Amino acid sequence: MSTARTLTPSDLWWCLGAVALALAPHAGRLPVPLSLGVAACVIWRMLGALGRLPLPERHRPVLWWGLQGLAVLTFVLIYAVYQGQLGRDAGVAMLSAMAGLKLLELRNGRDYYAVCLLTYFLVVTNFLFSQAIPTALYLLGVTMLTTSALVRVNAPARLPARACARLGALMVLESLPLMAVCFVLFPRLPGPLWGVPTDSAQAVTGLSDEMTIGRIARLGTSDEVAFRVAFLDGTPSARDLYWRGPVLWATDGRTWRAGAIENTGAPPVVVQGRRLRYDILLEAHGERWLPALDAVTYNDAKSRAQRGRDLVATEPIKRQLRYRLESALDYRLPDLTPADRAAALALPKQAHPRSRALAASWVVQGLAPPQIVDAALANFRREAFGYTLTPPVLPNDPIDGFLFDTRQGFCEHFAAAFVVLMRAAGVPARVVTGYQGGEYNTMSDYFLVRQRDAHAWAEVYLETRGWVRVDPTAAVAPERVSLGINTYAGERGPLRMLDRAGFAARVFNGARQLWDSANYHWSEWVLGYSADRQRGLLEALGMEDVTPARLVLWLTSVMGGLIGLLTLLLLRNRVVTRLPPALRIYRTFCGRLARIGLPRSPSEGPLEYAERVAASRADLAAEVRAIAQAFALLRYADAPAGLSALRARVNAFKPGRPT
Amino acid sequence: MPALEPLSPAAARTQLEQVVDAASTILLGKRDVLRLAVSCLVAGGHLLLEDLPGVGKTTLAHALARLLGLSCQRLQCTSDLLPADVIGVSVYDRNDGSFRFHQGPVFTQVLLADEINRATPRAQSALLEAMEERQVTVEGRALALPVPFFVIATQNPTEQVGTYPLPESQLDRFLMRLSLGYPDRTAERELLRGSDRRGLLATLKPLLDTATLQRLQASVDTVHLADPWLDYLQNLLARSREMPALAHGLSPRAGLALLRAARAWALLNGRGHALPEDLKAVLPAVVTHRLSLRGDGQSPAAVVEALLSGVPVP
Repeated sequence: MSTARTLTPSDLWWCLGAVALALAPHAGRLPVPLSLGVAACVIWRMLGALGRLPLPERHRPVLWWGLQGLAVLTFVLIYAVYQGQLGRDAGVAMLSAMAGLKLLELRNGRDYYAVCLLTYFLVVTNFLFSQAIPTALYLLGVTMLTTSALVRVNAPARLPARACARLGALMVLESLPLMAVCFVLFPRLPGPLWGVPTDSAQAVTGLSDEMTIGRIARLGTSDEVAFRVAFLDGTPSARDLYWRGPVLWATDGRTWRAGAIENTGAPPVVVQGRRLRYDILLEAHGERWLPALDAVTYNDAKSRAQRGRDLVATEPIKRQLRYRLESALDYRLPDLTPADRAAALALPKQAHPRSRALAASWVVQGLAPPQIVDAALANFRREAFGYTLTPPVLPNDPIDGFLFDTRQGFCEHFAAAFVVLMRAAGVPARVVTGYQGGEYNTMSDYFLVRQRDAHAWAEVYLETRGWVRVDPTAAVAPERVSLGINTYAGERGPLRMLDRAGFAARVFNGARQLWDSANYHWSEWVLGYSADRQRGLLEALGMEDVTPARLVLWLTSVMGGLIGLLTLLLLRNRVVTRLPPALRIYRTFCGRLARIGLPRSPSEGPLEYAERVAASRADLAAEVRAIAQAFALLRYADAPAGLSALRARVNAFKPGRPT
Repeated sequence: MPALEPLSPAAARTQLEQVVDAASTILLGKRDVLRLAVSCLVAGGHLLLEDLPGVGKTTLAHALARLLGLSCQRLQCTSDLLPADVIGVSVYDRNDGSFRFHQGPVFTQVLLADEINRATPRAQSALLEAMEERQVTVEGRALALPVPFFVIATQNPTEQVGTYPLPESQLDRFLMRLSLGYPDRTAERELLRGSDRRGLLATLKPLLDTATLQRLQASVDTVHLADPWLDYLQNLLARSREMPALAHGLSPRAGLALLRAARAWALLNGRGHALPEDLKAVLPAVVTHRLSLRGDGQSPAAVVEALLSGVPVP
């Protein structure tokens, strides 16, 4: 197309629509005035296309110079707002502003191309913020629309809109195999190219390494995904699914923390049963802890076990992380150093007088530590403690208040109160936070653990058995542990109707599992396609010694091969196989005549054309007529023979230009 | 009727060219129109001649009838022509006391219907029914018309006063519509110098007989149609149906008419197979009177030209 082509309003709708849709997801990310300004530009251009508003053109000096001024002002403001840091946010703000302003001077084909290319780039910038499946699908749609806009401006004006959209979408779909090849073979960079989308890290309120009463109760209703686990050696039963998070040693009476325990290396684990290997795909949570099934027996170099056998990463988890662990379900933790013992017995002075009194009464009775544990659990059962997701507020000493007054609480209340009682009775104890249970996805064979599966339990140290897990919540509400919180909350929440609805619930759950399964595979294979995975995949395909240089070599050769193959296929389809041989030869003949300035008009029959050529070139008349006759016989009389004669004649036919 | 053996294309060409040559001695400088008219008759179609008075329509009709060796009746259409004047009447015979049917002019091999648009619709439809069915119904009895049966109708352009234009459905029954047009200068000079054309007619000798004509007609059906040719025909029909200048596209009957006419034209050119050129040659004559144009001032000829140039030859 010539760049001087005048754009019709219908051309503009396509382009404006594509820009608007590419910009739409950014609207919430840009400063509000900028979002409004860009939207105003789009609307102004639309009204301009309809002739309702004048556009800033050279013959309207006020508008024209106003636009130039506005552009400069916008860039100054963006510079000021982002304080000169040209990072992701400032870059996107800049690009969006430029796109909006460019629309106002969209006049000819060249501008149209520029805007479409800008739109493609805007599409890419969206991935800097979100890489979820819906985003990818949406942006695929926008890419198709942008391509259709380019089709539109290059197509004859009468081509219907549907045909433009179809062709644009088809071109994008046809390029998907090439995209896949690029994705698989392009050398993976060790780090993220632009800094990672931070959407997941910002939004999630994960388990922290602190526990204050009330915090986990809020998690109890959050549907956010915490992590997903795929077991490699068979799945354990639901009651064994204790995912250890931060181990909390220190308390000030209200808040529990990991505490400044001297880290003398991870204590040993004595493994008694078999070991399970599993992969965890952890969502970003901004902290350093890594969930692991009790008790971890192997972890890789990127994580480190602490004194409480809880795993921490070397740096905060700001992006989705995939790691492999090995755990034993039947284990002993026999190690207790003097420093551990001191930390596991510390209680704030003067706090929890009533609890101390209760514990003292057990000591006075001369109970041994295992019996003290039983006594505490029996106390929870006997005194009608209740499990609730919405515990009452405990303004003063929360442990005493819970144990003796309200008796209503969530796992953290039970865990903290139990540990306080143990410590008061001289039994070393600590709080373990983490997750309990998980939802098994039957479609893709993995467990999904949500934030609402967060849990807190206790561990006590018994001389004979080492650290032993005690879940006081299970003493009060055993079904919370055996069924998981989903079912438990459902029993008393609005989900109850759905659970009882049978079929509707099954459909709903099936759809939810399918969607989560899709997300899981997306995370595993698209977002989590790292250099390691790439090497693994390519080695499985028989490629050895994967280096970036080799990858580039492979990439270029596979792409070249694919494009070549496609070209051949298209050529075969379009020219070779569709044309019968006689017609092909005849086309060659027509081509030769066209080169001497006598092209055949498409609606001309062979004899007609021959006569026309004969009329202007008497020297060629006899040969041209003969060829036309021979061709007409082959083509329209279905003559059985004569093809080779025609071919020979046409091959010998070398018309010169008239002298 | 016994199956007649078709003639070879070359033989057919010789026969038909003789007819055209002979007719050309009467109607000077109109070789192209004569060739079309002859192929129309060989294709077994009725012919409509439309032109101003005095350019030789009637002469052409007479000449063709004579040269083909067919019996010819002339029907001068007027506004008081009745169906009975065309078909015939039953007359009471006093001798044997019964009605006897007197055949009208339609019982002939070539019916020359002069100025057909002067007849009332009633008379026109009686005639047109005979054309379509090749039989007439009299008092409940179906009477077959002679074989072959051709109608060569002439009509003046319809702007003239006192005419009843043929409706589209009836125009459709004519395989071709031809116009003669004014002769060119040399032909007109010869015409002016020469003797009376009607007198010359009488000197024409029949060149064919009924049997030969029927063999020629049988030959038309043997003209080979290749797939690309049929593609071309179908593409033309399809194109006519989506042209904005046309209210309606060409009907399947028009397609069949084109096919027959093109075969006859191929035979006239001594070919046993049809070329796209054959279709292009007969197309204006076959379709112009069948087109229903939208009233935006385009002439039928221009539309036909646009149709032909808009479809590539496969």
